[in-house]
Amino acid sequence: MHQIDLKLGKSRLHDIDRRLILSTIGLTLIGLVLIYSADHSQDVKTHFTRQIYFGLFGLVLLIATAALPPRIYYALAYVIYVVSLIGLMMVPVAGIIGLGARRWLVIGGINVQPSEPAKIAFVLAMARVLSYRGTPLSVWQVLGLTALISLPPTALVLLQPDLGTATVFPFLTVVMLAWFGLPLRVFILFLLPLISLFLLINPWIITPVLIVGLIILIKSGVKLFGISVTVALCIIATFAAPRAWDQLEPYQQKRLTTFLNPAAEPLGSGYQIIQSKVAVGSGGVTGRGFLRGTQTQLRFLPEQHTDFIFALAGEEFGFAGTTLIIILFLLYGWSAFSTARRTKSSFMGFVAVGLGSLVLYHAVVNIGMTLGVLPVTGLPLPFLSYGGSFLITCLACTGILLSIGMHRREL
Amino acid sequence: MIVETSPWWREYRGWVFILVIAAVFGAIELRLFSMQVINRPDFLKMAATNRIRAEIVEPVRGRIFDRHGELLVENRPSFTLYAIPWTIKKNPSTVDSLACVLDLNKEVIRRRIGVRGWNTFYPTALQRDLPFEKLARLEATRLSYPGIMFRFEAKRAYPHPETVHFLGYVSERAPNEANMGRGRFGLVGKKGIELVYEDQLGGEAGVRYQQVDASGRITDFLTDPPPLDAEPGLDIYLNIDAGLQEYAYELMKGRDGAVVALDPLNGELLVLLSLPDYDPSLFAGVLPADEWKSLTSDPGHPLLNRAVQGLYPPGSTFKMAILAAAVEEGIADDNYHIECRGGMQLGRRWFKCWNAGGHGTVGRLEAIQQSCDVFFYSLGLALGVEKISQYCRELGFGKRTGIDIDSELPGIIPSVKYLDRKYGTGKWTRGQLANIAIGQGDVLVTPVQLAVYVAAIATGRIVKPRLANRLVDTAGGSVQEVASEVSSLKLSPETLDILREGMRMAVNEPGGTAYWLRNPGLIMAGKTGTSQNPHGEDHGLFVGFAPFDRPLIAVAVVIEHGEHGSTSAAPVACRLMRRYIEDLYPGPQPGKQIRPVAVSEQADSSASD
Repeated sequence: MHQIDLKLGKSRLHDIDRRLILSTIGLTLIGLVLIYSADHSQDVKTHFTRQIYFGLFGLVLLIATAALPPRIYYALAYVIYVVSLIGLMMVPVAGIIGLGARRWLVIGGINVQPSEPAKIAFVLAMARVLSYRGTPLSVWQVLGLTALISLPPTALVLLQPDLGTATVFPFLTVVMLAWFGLPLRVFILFLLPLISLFLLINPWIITPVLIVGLIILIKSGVKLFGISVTVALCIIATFAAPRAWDQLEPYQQKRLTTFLNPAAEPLGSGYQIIQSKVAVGSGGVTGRGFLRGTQTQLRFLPEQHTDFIFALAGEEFGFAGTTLIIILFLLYGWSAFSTARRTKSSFMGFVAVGLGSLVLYHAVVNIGMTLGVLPVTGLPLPFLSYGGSFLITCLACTGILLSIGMHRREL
Repeated sequence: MIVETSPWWREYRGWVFILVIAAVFGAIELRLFSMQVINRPDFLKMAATNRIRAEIVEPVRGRIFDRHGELLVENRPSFTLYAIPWTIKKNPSTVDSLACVLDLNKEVIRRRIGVRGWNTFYPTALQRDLPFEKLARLEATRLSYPGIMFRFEAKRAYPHPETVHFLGYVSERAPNEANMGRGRFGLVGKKGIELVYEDQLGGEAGVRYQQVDASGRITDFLTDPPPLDAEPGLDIYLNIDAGLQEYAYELMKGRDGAVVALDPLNGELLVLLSLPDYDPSLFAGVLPADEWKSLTSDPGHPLLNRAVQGLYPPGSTFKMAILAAAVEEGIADDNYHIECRGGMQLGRRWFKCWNAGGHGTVGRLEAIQQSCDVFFYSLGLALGVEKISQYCRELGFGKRTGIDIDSELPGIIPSVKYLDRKYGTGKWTRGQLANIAIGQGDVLVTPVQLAVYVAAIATGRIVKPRLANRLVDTAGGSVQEVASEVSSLKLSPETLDILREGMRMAVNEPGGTAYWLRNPGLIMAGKTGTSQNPHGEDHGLFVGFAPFDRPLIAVAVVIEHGEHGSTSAAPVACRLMRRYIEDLYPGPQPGKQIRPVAVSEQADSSASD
């Protein structure tokens, strides 16, 4: 391997992905500026300095993770995964409660949210499973293995309960399976039961969709057995949905109903969405100025240093500021996926796709929530939202992606 | 089924992913563009609504003076306790602490705070005129009461207890009165002058814009939009003579009833008194429920303004109206005489005269002077219900006088239709008609109607009684007069002269019902009345005017359970008239200083005005 590099006459450091570094540093610094502004409106102004410490620690971790070659990650993938599962299992036993859920562990006096690093561990384990190069696997074997990897963290996070984070694992599974090249009909096979969860809510729209899906399945040669299993799952899902709804926590139900109609409860859950939209919209093209957003500084905007930090950016820095953030995320995703595209190693490709999707999924869900087009899930905005566990996780993401970028020509 | 990635997918999947991401972020950009660039004005407006609180600055209410500029209603400084509903909702324990300090029921506090809903930042008045020790206690521990604030406000004060009924009172605006008057919140006139002239007294509310944060705390006072100063209400000068009103109050001490005195030439009300009264300061703050209950359940009905709402049979004071009708209709001419033997047989019933011994031969003037009932039985029977009703309406009975005060009642003057409805067609008797002719039975009038009636006899003019004289913008200096409304009576001067002469004789000639009240310096004219009261002792009434030659004051007095008009009501009225004339023309012999002017002359000149 060294020979190749020497032949090209390029050091690995020279090969480093500058787009990734630029977007990571840019987003983190913007985040610090926004947290400073959020602090300005509060009586207790500790978030800014703490986030600097988190960032510095994350930077060290970024350099460390970037310095490790991908084969180390390959070798340790399952170990890291099991350790993270243990961490998640510790939460219900020894965790502390906040925001109506048990999410944190106290390690050495610091609150750690194990579900954040578990996301990276999950991606590594999933990448290793999908890059298996032994005897060819059947579809059902692949599905079985991915389910084996994704169900434990999903279940543990759901128990906390943290619905938002729990959606991350299935989402990444689907994305990585798509990268893997699982045939379309298999996705449809599983998508149909999911869609039929909503059959009773609006049968007039859902029923035609289900019929079209079944026709595609039949046309693409799925056997009668597969189709009958799907139909059976659809029926189960249809009638299980109302029961599952009852199982949701009241605040989760409220978030979903509020998303559908925020005006129904302007001072309750809808308050957050309305105030967030007002903050973003009133920013205009260039924003109302640093420390001069009335929604932020008069504290009408809730959770402004964490979940709704994008709204703060929208209010004080306007369309220009939000567009810059969007461009930086786009740059991040572009570099992650072009790395995935160009790498010769299947494992590295899966890791790059998984980590890139991880960051972008959080970004899209968070921004969609801020703009009132997606439900309030409580997923933070990567690099910008205040929070040590998540910032450090994101910086580690960048580190691993940088490592892969530098080693992309290896097998 | 073995999974194999197709070569096509292996080649292009990276691009597919990048395209999908680009599409998603493109959609986000479009959304941002529509919110931040296209729809920005809407969101800016919403942001402004969030942070800008318009604070209503309550205007200073206009003061009320009497005709000589004596202050009847003033504004005294007081502190009002306000609560911000939204903040209280977030800190429910505040209610408990407040209940303790204010000595109020928690439910009462919650009801007062929540009167305009709980989701508002607008302060709601919780307790007006907060006693100083409570204020000090709350202020010292202010931080434990989030959502509480004080405002320095003017409180209504009524230094003249005898004026309560026509001044009325102010009290907290009900939510459905939000648009009444001009100030949106705060106190509003509920009765009397305070109610009738609410628009003028109320002034115009100002507004101050404050910047508040999410918890409702004021962070700044804004100059854009510019604040608007409150405009104080207009001061009102009444026609009431506070000294005379007080004198009437003294004369009526210990009695229930009403006194109305007015200038017969233009309807300016000099005295408007109703008794029993109540303490007007009760209504200045927040009236405790038990106080209100005791006021409304008091058998004496102190809240009733008897001058305009009290309905009494006029008794003998009604007789001038009957005589006027009879003279005008040609029934009672100069030669018309009746033999009174102390009563009159009508069907199976003996209708008594008040003088059981009889008045002997009675003419028109003596009938008024001595108030002979038999004379008026005969006139009533001769006139019939419709004629009586027609002339009584001409003299102002049976309809509202149009006085500038609320809740005036029209009284009842029976017509054929009325009696048919009440007793059944044809079922009522001539006896009832005879009773009507002496002002009993179905006839009901208010004291203010009696005053207008006697003023009409005195001058030949029907006046609209007015409390308010002028509205003065003390700051701006402009004065707005309240126009008087006067119309001529459709009775001939000769008829009126007969009525006046009869009334003069009642006071000034031996045998008159109020002869004992004659006064050599001042010639007064009047008529006593006693109205039968089925619920107890009779009511005493008196109507009169003075001076006889040139009427300057007309008075009606009703004393409940006063038994006889001549002993109860007449002295009050006569003393009041004398005091008024003496005040107008001070001197040992006021009668001589008044240059007599013929009454008919006056009536003519007014008609040609």
